[in-house]
Amino acid sequence: MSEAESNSEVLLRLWVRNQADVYRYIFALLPNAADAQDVLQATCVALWRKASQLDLNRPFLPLAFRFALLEVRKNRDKNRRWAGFLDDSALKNLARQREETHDLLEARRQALDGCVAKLGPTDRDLVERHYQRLLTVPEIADATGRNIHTLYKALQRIRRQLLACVNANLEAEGII
Amino acid sequence: MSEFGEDKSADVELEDWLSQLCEGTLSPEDLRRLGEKIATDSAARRFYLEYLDLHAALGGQGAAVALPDLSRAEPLSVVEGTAGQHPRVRRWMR
Repeated sequence: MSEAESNSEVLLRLWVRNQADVYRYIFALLPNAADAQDVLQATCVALWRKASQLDLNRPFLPLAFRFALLEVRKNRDKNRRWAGFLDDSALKNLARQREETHDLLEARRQALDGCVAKLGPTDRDLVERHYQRLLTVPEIADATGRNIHTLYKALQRIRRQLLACVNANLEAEGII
Repeated sequence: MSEFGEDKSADVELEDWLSQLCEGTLSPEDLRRLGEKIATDSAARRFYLEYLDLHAALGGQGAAVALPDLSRAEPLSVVEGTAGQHPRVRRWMR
C-alpha cells in the first residue's frame, strides 16, 4: 500500500469522526445551514486533494479548521448574502475566538444532552420535530395546529432555557 | 451604550437576532447590524458563539451530513462501515 493510500484511509477515519465539529466551526463563521454544508463538503474535498501531503499525526481539528476557514472565505466572497456581515478582519477575529473556545464549547455540548432530556414533553417534541426530523416551523405549525409565531417564540425560549441549563451545569462543575 | 450584559435591551435585541438567524428569518439589515455588534463587542461575540453552537449541536440542519462526493478528488480506499456514522450526533434521541 502506498503512503498516499494509507493517508487517505486515515483521513477518512478522521473526517468521519470530526466532521460534526468542523461543521459547527463553519456554521459559526457562516451561519446558514445550506452554505455551511457546502463549505463542509468543499473543505473535505480540499483536504482530500492534499491528503498525501498532510501530517495526520498532528491534531486534526486545527488542520481541518485552517482548511475550513479558507473555504469560508471563498464562499463568502462569491455569496452576496454575506457581503455586509463580517469583513476580513472581523471574520479572522471570530475564527480565532471560535477555535480558542472550542474545548469550552465541547464541554457545553456535553452538558446539552442532559439539559435536552430535562425539557418537558411538549418542548421536547418541538425540538425533536425541528432539530431531528428537520421540519420547518411552518411545517410544524401545519402538523400540530399551533401558531407559527408561537412556535418561533417557543423555540427561542427553549434555546434560552438550554443555554441557562448548560451555564448552570458548567458553573456547578467549576468550568466557568 | 453600556457593555453587553449591562444593557438589558441590547441583550434582548442580540438574542432576537440570533434566534432569527437560526430560523433563517433575519433580515439583511439586521444581519449587517449583528455583524457590526460581534465585530466590536467581545461579550456579544462570545454569546453569539455559544448560541450558534447550541443550535448546531442540537441538529441544526446539517450537523450530520453524509460524506461529500469525493469522485472529484483523488480516488480513495473505502473504509468499511464508518461512513454516515457519528457517535456524537443525535445521541440524545433515544
